[in-house]
Amino acid sequence: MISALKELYRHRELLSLLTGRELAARYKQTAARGLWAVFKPMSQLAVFVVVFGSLLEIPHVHMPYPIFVLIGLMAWNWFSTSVSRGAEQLLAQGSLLCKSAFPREIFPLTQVLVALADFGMNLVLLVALCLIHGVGPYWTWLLAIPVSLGVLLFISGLVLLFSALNMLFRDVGHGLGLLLQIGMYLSPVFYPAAVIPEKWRVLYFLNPMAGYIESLRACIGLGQIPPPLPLGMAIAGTAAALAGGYFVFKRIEPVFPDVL
Amino acid sequence: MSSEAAQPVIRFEGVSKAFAKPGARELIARLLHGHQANVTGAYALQDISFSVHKGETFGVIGVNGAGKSSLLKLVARVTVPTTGRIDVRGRVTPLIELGAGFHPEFSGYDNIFLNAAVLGMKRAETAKAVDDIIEFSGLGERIHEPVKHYSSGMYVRLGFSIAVFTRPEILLIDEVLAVGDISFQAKCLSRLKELKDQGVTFLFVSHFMNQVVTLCNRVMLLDRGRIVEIGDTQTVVDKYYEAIANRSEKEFKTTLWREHGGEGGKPPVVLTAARFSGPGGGDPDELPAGSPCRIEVDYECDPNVPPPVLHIHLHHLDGTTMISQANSFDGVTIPTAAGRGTVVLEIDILPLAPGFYDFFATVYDSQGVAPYDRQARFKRLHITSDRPHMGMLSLPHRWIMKT
Repeated sequence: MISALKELYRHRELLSLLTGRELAARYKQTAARGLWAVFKPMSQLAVFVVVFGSLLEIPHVHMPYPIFVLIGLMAWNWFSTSVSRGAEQLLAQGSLLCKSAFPREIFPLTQVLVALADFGMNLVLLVALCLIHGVGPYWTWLLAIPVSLGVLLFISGLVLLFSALNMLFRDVGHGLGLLLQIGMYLSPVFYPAAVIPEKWRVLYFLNPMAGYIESLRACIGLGQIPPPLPLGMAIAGTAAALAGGYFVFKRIEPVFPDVL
Repeated sequence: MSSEAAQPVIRFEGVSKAFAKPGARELIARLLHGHQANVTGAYALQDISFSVHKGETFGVIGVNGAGKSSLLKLVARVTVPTTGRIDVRGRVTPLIELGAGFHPEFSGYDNIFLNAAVLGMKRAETAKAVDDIIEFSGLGERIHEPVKHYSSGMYVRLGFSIAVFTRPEILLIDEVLAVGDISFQAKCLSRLKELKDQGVTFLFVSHFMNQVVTLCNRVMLLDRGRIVEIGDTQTVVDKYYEAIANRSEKEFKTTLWREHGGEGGKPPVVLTAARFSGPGGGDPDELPAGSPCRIEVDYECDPNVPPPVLHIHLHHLDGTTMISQANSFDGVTIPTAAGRGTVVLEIDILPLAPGFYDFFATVYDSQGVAPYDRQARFKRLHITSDRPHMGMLSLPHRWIMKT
């Protein structure tokens, strides 16, 4: 495991090059270029604000609904984009896979970093929204950084797991879209976890994304310290996902070119 | 230092590689136990053991499907062996799938950095080599265009240039010298020679035996995934030629009249014997280049058959036809009325380069199209010379110096 991490560190330049390439390639030959990165979350946000912010009444929000929903959306989009695109990466990069030996986890992890760039864009948007609504600034905003790091590690674990499993069974890729859709409803993206009945709450927080989104909302939107139980469970889930995902990935990695 | 030099840079020990895509069961076993379950079915490589030392040029030859490409992938650590052990010391640079992984939207310049990183180069190292790479590729200003606008030739030229200027330690070459136009090929060869002089190790796969003979120190012959022979280049190459000749002979037989089951089961003309004799009249195994020789072919025929055509061919061991002489070319007719006879061909000189040659005699119908019968390889002749030779011919010649 340690040697695998060393090997990954040795190839960090490749990781950053591939990420940069993906980012630069994304909006090539589009007229609007980088504007898409802002336009997409804003339109998504607008829909949620109209549907849930004004048509349906959602209780226990405690902060302006646009801020509430943007935090949920940006975390969830980071997660779901990374996982769905990361799972396909090994297949998509088949020709590189057969060319040379380097840590294969670079491919799926590239997608996590690419989606992180979107997350960063959204963060700018979020700060702007906060200032408009007179929310903050709070010192707890700084806590969003370690929490986001937790999200990064959790996503990385799942991306490794699913990208490796997808090499064994292409069904994984197909099923994943469905799973992510269900996952969004099982996470507090457009509603607060407080609407979940007390007795189901612990079960609910087995989903680390739930704990992370609630924590981000607490420290960004409310100026509070993240709730200990949800965050603790999310961190435990992250450790499990990272260890499990990396283990499975390394086990299957040697046969990737054979099953392409 | 001395112990390091003695260490092989590539070592295979009892390596086998299962051919088939691993099935679900093997994969789950790998997931649970960390290794593959017992593999059934075909092997691309079986029980391969060899080692290559630093600075050597090691050739791998064999007919298609012998396992050469599988072997290269194992050395590149792109795939792992099913069983056995592989040690590779040093940076492996494959000259395979040149340009694989280029991103079409990006310029050649950007792709240099990406491709070099894939090969394990640091950004700073690449920055130092980038001018050489561009210069060598001959792409000039076009290096700043997206590679999707490149021709396939430009694509491989860039791929090759990146590979040979990123400090390779072990180069894997798979028929790559067929890239680009003649002048670029010449450049490639001289660059490879430079690298060889710098002590780079080469693993060289080719079907072009003259390249193998010119470049390789040692050669390994593979057949259906197993080692047939490892050793001195010329010996192994001759073995390969023999294997090819046997194979093409089998293929020819299926078109022969007799094998076709033409009317009556027996062709109208049959070659009953073929003999070779050297300048002294005997049947020598060896002759010096430029000797005369004589060939006699006995035949039996249906007296009413239209005059057949007899070809005497001489093949190099690699299957190249050196001569194919037919009586019809010279306006000579083979008499059939007697129902038998002997055709004699006298050859004044055999202007051949040293090596092994096989004689064949084939009789065709009067049009020279449908083969009736054949005396395959009735004589194997070893042409010798007391001086070095290059090329396929040894022409009578003299030098004149003028000052």
